[in-house]
Amino acid sequence: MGVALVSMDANQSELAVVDRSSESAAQKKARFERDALQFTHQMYAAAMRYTKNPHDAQDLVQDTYAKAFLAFHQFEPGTNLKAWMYRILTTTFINTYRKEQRRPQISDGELEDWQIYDAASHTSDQGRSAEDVALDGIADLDVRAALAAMPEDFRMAVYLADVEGFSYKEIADIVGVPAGTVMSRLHRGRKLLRTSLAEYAKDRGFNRGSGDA
Amino acid sequence: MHNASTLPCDQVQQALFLYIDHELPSEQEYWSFQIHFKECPDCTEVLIYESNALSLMQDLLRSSCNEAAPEELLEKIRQQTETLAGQSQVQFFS
Repeated sequence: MGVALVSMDANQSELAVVDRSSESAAQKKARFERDALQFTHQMYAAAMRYTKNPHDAQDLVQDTYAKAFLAFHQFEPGTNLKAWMYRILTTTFINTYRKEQRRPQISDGELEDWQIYDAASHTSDQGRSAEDVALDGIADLDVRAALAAMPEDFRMAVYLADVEGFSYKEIADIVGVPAGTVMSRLHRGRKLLRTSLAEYAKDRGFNRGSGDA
Repeated sequence: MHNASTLPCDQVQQALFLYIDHELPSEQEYWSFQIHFKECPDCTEVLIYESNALSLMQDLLRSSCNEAAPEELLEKIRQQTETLAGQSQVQFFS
């Protein structure tokens, strides 16, 4: 780990002075409001990626904050609160919402190698420069749609690494899988996303072209 | 110049994303990669391309996945925290 010394949470060191044993209920509430509520917008955006709809996303975030408050005495001040909150969010989603949605889940093994191969070879067929240029024209909605279309395990890994900046180890803790699994999901997820973004961008490019003509 | 610590190109390119993610297992490996890049323009070119492609994708993701939580949700969480804090106080002092 010697390489990954960049800390995202240097500002959390100030929390280390809290003495939880002598803390009153009012103090605990104030500390929760000060430290945990700052993540509501981030948690909501993540919940939108997980549940894919605003209604479930709101419920998921609200549930997460209820659980986080009730378990807040277990949180070790000075450690990574954002990762702790994300673990509750993700576990709650996996245990509750995912079951309710009853959508078929694709596990790592089920995304066949030919799909990966297909995606990878497709990308190289287009040539690197084509892919580069194309991504300029892409819209927010396209990016969200491309993410939403990905297998859930890959989407989570990509979101947690590339939007939230968590390390493989942190993602492993959040999702509850080994770091090696995170690495493989992230790598394959990024490849899929890159291919799919290039497709969206190409379509945008064609549409723009035909509009001018 | 041949250096015993220089890695083969295929090994570097296969683990390139670990290097970019700062997830190589040891500082030793990190240095081995850097030595390789110093001596190998081909791998350096791939590194620059892949780093830029990843940054571009991350920028796209970050700028499109940043919906603000609705005010309604923020209010629900505030109320919920009040309610739960009230309940836990009763438990502690009754």
